Parts: sequence; C-alpha cells; structure tokens
Amino acid sequence: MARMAHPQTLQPSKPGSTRTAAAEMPAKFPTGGRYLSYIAFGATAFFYLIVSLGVLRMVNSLAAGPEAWAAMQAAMQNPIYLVFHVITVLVLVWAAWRFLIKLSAKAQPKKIGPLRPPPAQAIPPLMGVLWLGASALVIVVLWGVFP
Amino acid sequence: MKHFIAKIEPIVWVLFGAGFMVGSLLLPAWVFTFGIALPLGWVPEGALTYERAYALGSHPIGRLLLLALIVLPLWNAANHLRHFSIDLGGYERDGAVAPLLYAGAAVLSVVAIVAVVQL
Repeated sequence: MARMAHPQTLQPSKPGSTRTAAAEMPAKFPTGGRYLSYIAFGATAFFYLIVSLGVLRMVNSLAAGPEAWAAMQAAMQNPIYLVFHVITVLVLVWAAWRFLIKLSAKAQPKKIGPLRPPPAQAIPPLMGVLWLGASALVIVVLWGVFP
Repeated sequence: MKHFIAKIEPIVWVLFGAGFMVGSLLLPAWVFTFGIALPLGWVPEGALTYERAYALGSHPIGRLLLLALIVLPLWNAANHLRHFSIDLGGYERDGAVAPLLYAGAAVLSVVAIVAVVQL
C-alpha cells in the first residue's frame, strides 16, 4: 500500500556535494517593491476575520429578538465603527480586485477534467462581471428592492 | 501535530479559496450596506426591519448564505494569517500558530453552525 505523501519528501537525505549559498531574505522584503502589496494582501486576513465575527454577531442579534437587532443597528452609528467600516470596504474591494481580477487568471489549471479553462484574457472581465452581479444582488436584496 | 496539519492542508486550502471567493463577491456590498449605508440612513425605510431581516435570514437560502459568510472567511483568515506569520519570519513558531488558528476557526465554525441553525 502506498504511503501518505509528506511535505519533506523532496528534501535530500544528506547535503549535496555542490555548495549553495545560504538562504536569505531579499533585501527589499517586507516593505519594498512588490513585497509591500504581497504583505498588505496577507494583512487583509485581519479584516476578513473581523467581518466574519461581525456577521456572527449580527446572527446572534437577530436570534435574540427585535430589541437586540435595534441595539445592533444603533451601535453601528458609532463614528468609530463608521470609519472602521469605510476602511474595511476599501480593504475588501482591493483584496477582491487582487484576488478576482489579478490572480484568478494566473491560478487556472491547464485542464479541468476533460475541459479547458477559458482563455486567460477572458477571465478578468468574466470575474469582474460576476463580482458586479453578485454585489448588485446583495444590494438589491438588502435594500428591499427584491424580493 | 505537524503531520496532522500537513494532512488537513488540502481541506484548509479548499476552504481558504472558497472563503476568498465568497468574501470577494459578497462581503464588500454586505459591509457597505450594514456598516455605512444603514447608519447614514441611505437604506430605504423598512428594508432592514427586524421582521424582514429575520424572514431573509431564517429562509433556507438565507441560512446557507449566512453560514457561508461566517465560516468561509474565517478559514480564509486562519490560513492567510498563518502564512502571513510565516512570511514575517515565523517558520519556527508555525508549530504553535497553525494549530491555534485552525482550532480557533474550527471552534468558531461550530459556534456559527449552532447560531445559524437556531435562528
């Protein structure tokens, strides 16, 4: 029976005869050049964490009854929350832009089962349309237009 | 523990990708509505009353969406924070950071499932 793959499988059992330079951080890491946006993208995780906990709090307010729901809405009017939410929307839009528009085309496998993915040039506009459509749907439902 | 983390990584990466997809597609408009438009009075009156919000949230599709909006971004955050920590020189501490983040995401996922089911 085949053994489970292990992440250290490719590591040589003993050092090779060819001398290699010791691994070191690039000089510009972490705040220079392209590393800054890479690190900033990693830091967006804090916002995803806080927003998901915020949705959980919202569900708990909804379950607790009309008074708790009204109290949650009143708390949202705190200027500190308002500023935080403006920053959060900007961060989420930037992260979505980077994930959906910039990265998704590069992350496609060459084949998906018997199918080929769409041409790489077509993926960013497709993802953009999907993003706008999903955002419009959220707005339409939450703003009472539908259903 | 390291071997266990390596074993569950494929599942974590699936949840991470799904979290990014859900978070990217739905969360900006969601946070804009609840965090900015609602406090500033831009949302039409009656759109987010308790009765309507409860009706939307307790509908089976609403429950699924709420669960996805909580659980998937949580796993996204856990996996991204783990790699953020590694990038900032924390490879040695990853043995403690990864289990802590994944266990936190797992516990909060269970809390979210209970909250959404009981809604």
